[in-house]
Amino acid sequence: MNKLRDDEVRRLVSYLRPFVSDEELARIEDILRSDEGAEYLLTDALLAYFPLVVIELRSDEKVWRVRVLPHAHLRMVQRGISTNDIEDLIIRFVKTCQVRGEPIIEDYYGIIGRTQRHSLVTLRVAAEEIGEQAGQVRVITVHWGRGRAQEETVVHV
Amino acid sequence: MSQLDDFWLTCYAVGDMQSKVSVTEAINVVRQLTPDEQRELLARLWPEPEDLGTDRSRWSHVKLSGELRVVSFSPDQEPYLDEVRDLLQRGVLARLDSAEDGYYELYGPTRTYYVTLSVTKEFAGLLQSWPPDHPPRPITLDDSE
Repeated sequence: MNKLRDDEVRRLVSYLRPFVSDEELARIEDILRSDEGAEYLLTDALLAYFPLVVIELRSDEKVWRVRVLPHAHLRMVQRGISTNDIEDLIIRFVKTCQVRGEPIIEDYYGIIGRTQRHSLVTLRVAAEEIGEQAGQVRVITVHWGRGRAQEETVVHV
Repeated sequence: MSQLDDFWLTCYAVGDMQSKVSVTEAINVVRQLTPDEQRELLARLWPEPEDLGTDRSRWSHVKLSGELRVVSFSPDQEPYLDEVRDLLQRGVLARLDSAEDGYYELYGPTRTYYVTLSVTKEFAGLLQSWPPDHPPRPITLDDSE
């Protein structure tokens, strides 16, 4: 695997600073900047610092609860993807399905789109608790997300 | 009649079809499947990574030791941890989906597992899984909005 980019390490270190001691932060930064940095992020070593993020939003006259799981949260921080970016992508996902006449059912989806800063992002999400009752909350769980600097490397899944 | 002519496939994975068909018929059926469905089928019909042609760099056979650690990154995947551990300890066909992030699809007999995989650290983080005939639905957003 490639080494982590400097901007990715800086984002992660900046995010972690309030949660760990200076000594621990220096140790983590050393690992992230080493050849092992990318593999380190594949494990659960840092996930305790990236709690579940819950975003509530309205689209299609329904309430959607978006749950960003810890590993996806870590990738968001690493790639500079904000919760606003996630909100925007999910709203556009709901609208896209609506325009196409495809009801969102309880299933896994791979969402491919650009953020407002034009970064190409792929999100793997699970839609749950879909029903016909008015006012029912729908849940979309973001299992992971990745941003891409170069379009040619995108894998549509 | 050639060996190929004699070769018949029994297709269980393609829709509800459960009958003997010729290779040509099977190919015609498979061509109508989506790329994801084709990949699910290919993974089970052709389990030797060295025979997988131009895409071989993405395919490998992964086998890890008993020291392997498997963790669920999603609460709904916890029921599958033992199966993923068994697959990785026995050896499993894997497809590298993202070289940048180290995400793999592992093809089990009844389910495909999407994992973070560190061979050197002997660690797998289970993100999602699905049955072979039901991969995630790709939705490409219109970026002109």
